[in-house]
Amino acid sequence: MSAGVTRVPYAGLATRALALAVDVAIINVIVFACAAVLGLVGSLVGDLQLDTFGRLLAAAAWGLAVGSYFVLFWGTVGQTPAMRMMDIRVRRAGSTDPPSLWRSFVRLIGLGLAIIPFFAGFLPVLVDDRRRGIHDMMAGTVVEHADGGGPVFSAPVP
Amino acid sequence: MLESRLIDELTEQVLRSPELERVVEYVATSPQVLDAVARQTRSMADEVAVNVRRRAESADDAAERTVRGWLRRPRPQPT
Repeated sequence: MSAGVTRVPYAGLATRALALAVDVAIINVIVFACAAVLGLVGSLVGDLQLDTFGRLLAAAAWGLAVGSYFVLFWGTVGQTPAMRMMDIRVRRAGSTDPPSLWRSFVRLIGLGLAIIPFFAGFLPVLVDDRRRGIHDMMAGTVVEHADGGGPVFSAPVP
Repeated sequence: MLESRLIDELTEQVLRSPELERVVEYVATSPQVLDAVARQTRSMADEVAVNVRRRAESADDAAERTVRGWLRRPRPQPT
């Protein structure tokens, strides 16, 4: 390794943003495919029109599906499919274990809070030494390269 | 001219022959061929993923370097 650079085992903003975008795409394709099948079956039975309550129910089902996707993957294997593609995983800080389901749920809430102010909650990733966003800080988690080495990444040191 | 017509006819006959169909079917369903195609597809997907990962890591590097530069807050030395 050359002088002036250090290997960083934690995943950075671009890697994580890409993984998140791919995950959101995956889960939305799944949800909308299921909705399309349900709609098709519904249209065979009769005229399917959603009133306000029906729309709220559909939105709740979407939220539940998206939330479950993230919480279950983080809380069981510590990786969503897109995180696996990017070779990163989430773990509890100070442990090699994936976060518990409860911690994953807290992280999901934190993720929502990080997204609401135009993704500003992700900005700490750029300056935090462990590259944590506010959702990681809330849940006590870190996101690292799955092979543990931070293979080709280098960051400036004084 | 005659030879050329003969070749055309022979080619036509071979293409229409049930033997050729059997050969094509055998090759198309051969586990070795299917395995090779699957391996090729997998290795291509792996290559794409590795490339995407490498570019993303470079972007991580550049973004962090830029922001830390603005803030004059270099990454601390690992202990």
